[in-house]
This record gives sequence, structure tokens and C-alpha cells, in this order.
Amino acid sequence: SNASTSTLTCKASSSSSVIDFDLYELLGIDSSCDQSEVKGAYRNLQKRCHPDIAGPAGHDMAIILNEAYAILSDPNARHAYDKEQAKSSEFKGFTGRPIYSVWCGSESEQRAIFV
Amino acid sequence: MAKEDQGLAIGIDLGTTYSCVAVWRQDHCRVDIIHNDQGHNTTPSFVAFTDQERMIGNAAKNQAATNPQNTVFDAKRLIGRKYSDPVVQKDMMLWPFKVVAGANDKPMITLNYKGKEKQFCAEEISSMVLVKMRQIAEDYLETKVKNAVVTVPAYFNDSQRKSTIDAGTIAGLNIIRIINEPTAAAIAYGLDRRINCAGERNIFIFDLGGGTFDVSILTIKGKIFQVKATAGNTHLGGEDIDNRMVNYFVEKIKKEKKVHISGNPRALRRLRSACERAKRTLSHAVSATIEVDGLFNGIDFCSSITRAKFEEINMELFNQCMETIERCLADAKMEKRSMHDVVLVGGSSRIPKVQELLQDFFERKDLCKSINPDEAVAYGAAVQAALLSVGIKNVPDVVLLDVIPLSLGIETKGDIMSVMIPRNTTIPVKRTLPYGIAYDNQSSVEIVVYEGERTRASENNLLGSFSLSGFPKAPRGHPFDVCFAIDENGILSVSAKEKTTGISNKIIITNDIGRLSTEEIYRMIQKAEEYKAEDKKFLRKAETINKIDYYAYKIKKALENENFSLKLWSEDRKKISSAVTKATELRDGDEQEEEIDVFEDHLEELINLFERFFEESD
Repeated sequence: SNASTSTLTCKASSSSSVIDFDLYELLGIDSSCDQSEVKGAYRNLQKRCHPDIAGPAGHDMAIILNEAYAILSDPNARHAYDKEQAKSSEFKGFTGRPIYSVWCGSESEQRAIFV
Repeated sequence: MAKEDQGLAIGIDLGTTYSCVAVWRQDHCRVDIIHNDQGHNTTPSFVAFTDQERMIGNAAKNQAATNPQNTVFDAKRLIGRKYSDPVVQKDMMLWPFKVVAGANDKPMITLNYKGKEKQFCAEEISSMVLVKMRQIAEDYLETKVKNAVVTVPAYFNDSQRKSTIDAGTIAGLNIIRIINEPTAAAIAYGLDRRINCAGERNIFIFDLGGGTFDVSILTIKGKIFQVKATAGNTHLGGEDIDNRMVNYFVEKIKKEKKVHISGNPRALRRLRSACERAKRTLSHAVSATIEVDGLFNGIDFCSSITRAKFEEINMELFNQCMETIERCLADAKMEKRSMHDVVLVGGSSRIPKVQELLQDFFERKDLCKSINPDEAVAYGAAVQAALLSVGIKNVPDVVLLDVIPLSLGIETKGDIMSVMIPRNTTIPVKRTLPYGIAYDNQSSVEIVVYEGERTRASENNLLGSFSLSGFPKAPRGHPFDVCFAIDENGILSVSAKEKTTGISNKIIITNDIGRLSTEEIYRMIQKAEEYKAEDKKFLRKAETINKIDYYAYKIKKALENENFSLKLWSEDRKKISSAVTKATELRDGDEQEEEIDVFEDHLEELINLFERFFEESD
């Protein structure tokens, strides 16, 4: 039951839930496309999904789009994501995913311990 | 808060020194900047109290020199700050009105109203300005207005933003969104220029206003306005320039006339007004004269200042602006050469030296001055207000992607700030990160939320805290998750969860330290209603006195006509002349303190007499 609780927590967090999607698929673009296509796709979706346009229903989608764009618009983060994707496709079905990855803080970072 | 369906929504630029209100006119497909009762598009953010009445706007500013202790301005420099804030302490030395420490270190403005000492917090003063702006809009639109978008400096922190929302609530407004001033200005600029811009444009907004300074970098493509980075100083603007000029002249007077005027609020206020005028003159002339008759102890002060001297005494402030610009470009990871337009916003952006420094920095001559620097922010707010309202037609369908101005994080062992969401992250956003407990056998943790860029957590702005407890004692490093979520209104909620037990706790950062509680806001709304009623009563009394005067005059004139006068019974004549005498007493006498009923009753009597005896002869 411990394992299922931890999966639930992962789902609740957007940085983890974003990994559950294929970001390229989410934006409707090819993984080999250039930066301007990423930008264009992100904006086209925000035009429809932003809560100012779509109301509260767009809220969650806007969060996911922002997170996806933050990763794919930064060359380093995108590279790390591509590597991660390649790795996870090798291990399809293997659940030992890291809790967080390079695009939300470096893996080697000495995370300060909480008081 | 999005999509309100209660009719019209206005945009209000609530400034440190001046405020401006605008509205989207769906029938005309354009924004109207709304002029006030004096015909001006901007209204001073001033509130004044006298023995008889309360004044807001132009009326308050005009009498500032004769009533300096009871004329309040710069409320935006107090809002969301603590009394012990060094910025507040420094400002207090320059303000002619008194500020004292209230409960929870909240600064309270103390003044005299109708002979009694009253205390107001900054939110209340700002709410009075908001009421005035709403009134201006209602007069113009000839309809009630309930909803508004209010702008704040991009670099305002969380407590300053939330206090601004409180001010709106006290004013009886429904604030549907708080948006950043430079972003609002960008909307105004983008809509104005959209016809000519097919591709993507990088816009640099330079917003130097009366009290605050902001810069923002946006990219505009079609209907998307995306903020890349923002930086600023919430305490840098025209007021600081005026302060330096005042100090310069105070020293000069000390040297030349051997008098100290620094302890005299009236003299300082008059000198400040003269300096403000001279500053404006120096934007087109190379020198300006300062003339204040009877400044102090009968001394007539007359002096002049050259543009070069003006630039010298303010160079430090101008350099601060330039440093902020560099930081913003670095945050956006953009080259200054890649900026397509440099847009000037805010009254102080008119200063020639500021423009010259900008031209040198961006290596270009063409700064964009096509939008009105005083009105652009209200313009953008009006567009956003229309966008967020249901049933408004012909609104330009723009999407604003704005960012948070300051990093958000939690305190970790050793007073270290652990950043959860870095500054300039696009909102809405939600992030979860794992943390570990610090000591063996710890069964509860305190999550303390901060905002700011300092490494030491306690040097940042404290937003709130909550604890997570009740999980079984665990070894050091035992993990739990912390999640930060910011919605499109910039409201932050923080939650924490211990994974093995599923125990969780969360807070929505709304009622942080120093912020008004719901009861306090309710009480202030009532207080505001009372003041409004008193203002109305004052107006009604003044109108009644005017009418009494009018009828008394007409009756007196009629009595002077002998033919007519002789026709009256002596009894009636006596009654009439005693009524006229009483009218004069009421008008001139010390009986102005009396209740309004006395005046209204007498007015009725006069009107009756007039109708009975004089109407036909008129």
C-alpha cells in the first residue's frame, strides 16, 4: 500500500505528472522540431486553454503547458528531457522513476534538510 | 475570480501620486480614459481632512499647503509594509502627516477630522482614492460600477498586492484581477501597434512613475503577450526626485538666508510644490526658477536651478534605474540589441536625462513615445477588465502570460531559503519537491513560506507558515513532499504531505501577518460608509445654505419694492423680516455646527413665505 500512496503523490505534483505525458505529443509537435515551432505550438494552445479565455476549466491545462514550455524552451532542460525519455522508453513498464529530475533541480544538488 | 457577469468593469491605475481610470466601450470598440470633474485625466492620490469635511483628489491636493498635517498622500508607499520597515522610517521623516505604530507593527496615519483625532491604515486611504476613481467612472458612464481591474507595480510583493485587494474591498469594489503596471502598459502599446507588427516583437517597458519603478521584457506575437522577465524598485520615482530637490533648496536656504525650514510643514509643502513644477519645466527648458513668496518668517524665496544641476543631484537615482535594466535583461537571458521597441511609461520617463541614458544604453535613438505615459497603464487595465467580464462585445482577444516577480520558497535547516519557484516563472504554476526531515525521531515539521531573493530565509518577506505533524517518529532524512501552486490571480497555496501515512496539511496564503482580517475589513467598510454619509451630509448642508441665501436675497429685494411692501399686513411683514434675519444668521453665524434639520426646516419656511406672498409678483 506504501507504493500506491507514493504513486498518488507523484500524480498530484505537476512536475511529476508532466513526465507522464509525452511533452511533444502534448504540444502536438515532432520531437525533432526547432525552438520556434515549440513556441508557436505553446502559444496556440494557451490562446485556447488559458483560464482568462477558457475560464477555470483551463487552469490545469495552463499549468501543464507552462511546465512543458519551461522544459522544452530551455535547450539544456530539453536535452535532459530527451535523454530521460530515451532511457524510459528502454525500460518501458519499469516503475523505478526518480522522484524529480534535472529540469526541476539538479540531481547532484545538496538539498538542504528541513528544520 | 475570472469571468464576472455583473456588467461593466473598469480599469484603475492606482498610482503613488496620481491615479487614472479607463473603460472599454464596446459600442465604439475603444478604450476611453475617463476625465474627472475638473476635466483632468489623472486625479491626485490625495485625501485631506478638515474641521468640516473630507476631500479626495484635486480638492485635497490644492489645499495641501494650508493643511499639511491632515493631508495624506503616498499611501502606496505604506501599503503592505510594516512600521519598522526602514523604508517607512525614512519616508516618515519627510511626510508632514503623522504615522504611528499600530497593532502587529502596522503603520497607522494619525490626523484630525472634525476636531477629533482619527487613525487610518494605508488600505483605508487607498480605498478612499479608489472610491473617488469609481465615482469618476460612474458619473461618466451614468451607471453603477462594481467590478474593477486594479494595477500594481510589477515588483510589488505578496503582502503589498493583497493589501491592495483589501483596499478595493473596503471601497466596495469587486477586484476581479490585480495586474502588473508594465504589463498593462504593454497591452496599450501592443494594441496600438498591432496592425504594423506581423512577426514576433520583443518589447522593453520602462515604467518610471511617481513612486515606483518597473521594467518588463515582453514578447508580443499576434494576440499573445508573454512576459519574459520583470525587475524594479518599489521605492523609486518622481517623489524621490522631488525629495532631492527639496533637500537641495533647504540646504541652499540654510546657507543663504541662515534659516532652517525643515521643521515647518507648510513651508516644506510649498517648496515641494514649487520643486515639482520646476522639475516639469526642466523637461523642456534648460533652467527653471523657483519662487515662493512668504516662504518662512516673511522671507520671499526666489532661486533657480539648471538642468545640469538637476541631473547632478539625481544622478544616483538614474543610475539605479540603469542597474535594474541590466538585471532584467540578464534574467530574461536576452541581449539588449534584440529589443525591437523601448517603450516609455510613467510621468518621470519624460526627464531628458533618463531618455538620454536609455538611448545610450540601448544604442538607439528611437525610444517609443507613441502612447501616453500617464494613461497607458489604465488603458491596459481596462482592456483586461473587459476581457474578464462576460458579455462585453468587441474586446481585443489578447492572452496575458505574466510571471511572478519574486522567488518563492521555504525555510530549511540553518535559515537557508530553499527556492521552490524561481522569480520570472510564468503563472499559473504548480510544483512539488521532496524534502527530508532534519533530525532523528522528529514527528512534526514547520513549513515557513518566504518570498524574496536573499539566501538567508529570515531576510526575505515572510508569507506564512503551517505545520505538518502526527506522523510516526522517523529517522533523519525521512522524505515528505512540499507543493507550491500559484493560480492566474497570483494567489499562492502551499501544501505538504508525508508519504507513508498520507498525512497532509495546506494553507492558502491569504491572511498573512500584518494583513487585515475579515472583521477588520468589515469594520473599515462600515467606517467608509459613515465617512461617505458625512461627505453627503456636508454637501447637502452646503447646498441648503446656498438655497437659504438665494431665497432670503429674493425676499429682501421684493420688500425693497415699496408698492408691494405696503400691500402686506404689518403682521406678515414682521414675520417675513424675522425669517430673513434668521436666514442671515444661519448663513454667517457659528451655527454651522447645527444639525442639517435646522437648515432644512428654515429653508422650507422661507420657500413657503416666498410662494405665499411673492410668487405672483415675480
